[in-house]
Amino acid sequence: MTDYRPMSETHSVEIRGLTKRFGETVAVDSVSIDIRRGEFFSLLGPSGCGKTTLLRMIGGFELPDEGTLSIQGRDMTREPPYHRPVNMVFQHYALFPHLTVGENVAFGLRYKDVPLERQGGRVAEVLDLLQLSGFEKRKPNQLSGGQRQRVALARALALKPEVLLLDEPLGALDQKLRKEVQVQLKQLQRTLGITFVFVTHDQEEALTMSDRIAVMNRGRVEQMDTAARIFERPATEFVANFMGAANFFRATFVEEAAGQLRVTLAAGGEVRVPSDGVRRRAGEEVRFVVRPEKLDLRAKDLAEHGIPTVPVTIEERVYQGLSTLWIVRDDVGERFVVYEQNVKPFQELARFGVGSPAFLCWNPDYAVVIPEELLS
Amino acid sequence: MSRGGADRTGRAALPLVLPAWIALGIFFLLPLAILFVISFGQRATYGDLKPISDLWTYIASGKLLAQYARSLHGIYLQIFWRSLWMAVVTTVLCLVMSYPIAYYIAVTAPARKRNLLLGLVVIPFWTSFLIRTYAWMFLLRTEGLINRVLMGLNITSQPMELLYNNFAVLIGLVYGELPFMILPLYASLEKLDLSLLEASADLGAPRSSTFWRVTVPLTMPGIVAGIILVFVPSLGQFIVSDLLGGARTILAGNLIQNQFAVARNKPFGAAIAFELTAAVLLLLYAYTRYTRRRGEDVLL
Repeated sequence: MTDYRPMSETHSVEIRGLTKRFGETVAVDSVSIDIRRGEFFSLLGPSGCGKTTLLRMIGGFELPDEGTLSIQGRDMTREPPYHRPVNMVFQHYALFPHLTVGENVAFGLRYKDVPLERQGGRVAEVLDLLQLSGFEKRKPNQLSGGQRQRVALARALALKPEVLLLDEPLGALDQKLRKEVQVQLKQLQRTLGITFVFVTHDQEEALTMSDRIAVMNRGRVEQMDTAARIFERPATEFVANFMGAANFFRATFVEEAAGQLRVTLAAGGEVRVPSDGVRRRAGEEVRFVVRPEKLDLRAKDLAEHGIPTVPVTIEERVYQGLSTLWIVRDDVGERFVVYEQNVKPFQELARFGVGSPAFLCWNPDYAVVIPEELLS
Repeated sequence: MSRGGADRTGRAALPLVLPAWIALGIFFLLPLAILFVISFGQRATYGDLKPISDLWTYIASGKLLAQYARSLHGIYLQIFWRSLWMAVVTTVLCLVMSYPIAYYIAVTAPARKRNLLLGLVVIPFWTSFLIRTYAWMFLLRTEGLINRVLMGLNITSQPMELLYNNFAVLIGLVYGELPFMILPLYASLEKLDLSLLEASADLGAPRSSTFWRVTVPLTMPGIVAGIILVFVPSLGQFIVSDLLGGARTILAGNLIQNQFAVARNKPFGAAIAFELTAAVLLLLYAYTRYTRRRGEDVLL
């Protein structure tokens, strides 16, 4: 309790060992997270990873079996939703169908001791902020999906919450609108300075908007870091896979020198990868990942120049307009994906035919060693 | 309403709706029309209808509306008034008792128990209503089960007068009509989006506020349907009041039944029956006007 006060000045939400069980299954497994004040924090993971349950515990809709939760330095573990300084944007918006847009937005004001004569002003202000002026008298079923999403946001923001919880609020929007709303949401969060806790299963969405991301899997946090670090430096195999870095290289450790590991690839050939600081013995297995967009395909072997190179056979070439996706296979049958921006001259785009040999290479700095104990 | 539906679907749907209209005509409109005509007649000596020789002299003598005029006498107005407030009290009691039951079945109870609980609500229908009302007689009699238990436990020294009064009739009415309130309430509560209740709590509303501001308005269709399904039959009930009410607690339903079966005054019975039907239709009409003006979905 003594170190609570200084902590709460920088942390909006402090989660300590939170666990939630539904019968036999453990939905959230002793999760501890500190969410900083004013940050855009995302809980990212596949469906069933526990991200929504965790969010619902912050909102007060589920009570944890173990652990504590404090918001703005006050213990909220067992408080009902209506006593928490947080508001939620629900997955399907949960707008009251029997009330107009204006009534929906004004719904909670009376519980926040906003005097009646000031309620109208507050509603108009929030509707204006979300470009909904003129829609006050409409019912939710007379709105488009994007408008409904903004009403849900307006309803929550009208109460000036300390923390805004968002449960996949963009899931029901079409692709184009989604991209727009992502940018708007991020801007809104920056202007208002409110802490956003955002749940999504879409890694691109999380990367676009978040200051920090917690990647969840089977009720646990696999990695919690900035968007860029999660993307570039996945801590576990799961995170690497989930963030779309499907290229795993198997190698044997030789020695460590000058901040680099010298390893022998399973397919043959020696390469250097950045050290992860773990002590190893010669002959131990090392696995590392290189993101698809960091791999390159060449016609010539560059190994003699000190560039990591693996001889491969082209298995598939997928033209995607802005980019080309190559699927290649090395001599021991391991598959790799290469994602190439189509910036080369037109004639070079199809420079390798399916079945032809090529050399897969990368900048040694782009390899990320995945710790042994976290390999699942 | 059906008229709007027919306009929208047009002539092509006529063969499809025709059977429904024919059934409605034969089993509802035709009897009502016959009732209407009879209500302008006079009773013959042996309970038949007196033939009318000259229509103009009949109208001029004021006999055309004689049955309706008679129904406005104090003694009958008293019966109508008692029927009305008994139906109102029955409806209110049913609503207050059914809402928690329906809420429990539709929202609180685990999904796998839902059908079982609904089955329990419907099970009384497997026994004739007449027999179930007789059962209440055996429970409420001076030497019935309730009095015997109360005396056996020394709570009362003398048997209480539970039967043949307004109280007994109300018990019978509420008991009989309860499922007709629970089922429509269940139907609308079951459709209630529970995330709306969470949204309300999230916005700061305590449980009671959520109930009055979200749950009740959104289940209004079920509430209205339940009120109509309970109020209308309660107004015309005669079995319950006949068996449990004794001579002093006569209701409009008994009055009508007596005119046809005992007094053999068909025109007078028809007049009262028609008045009752007209009153109910008027109430339903007022309701549809009211909801339409508020721009809500009309349920009838």
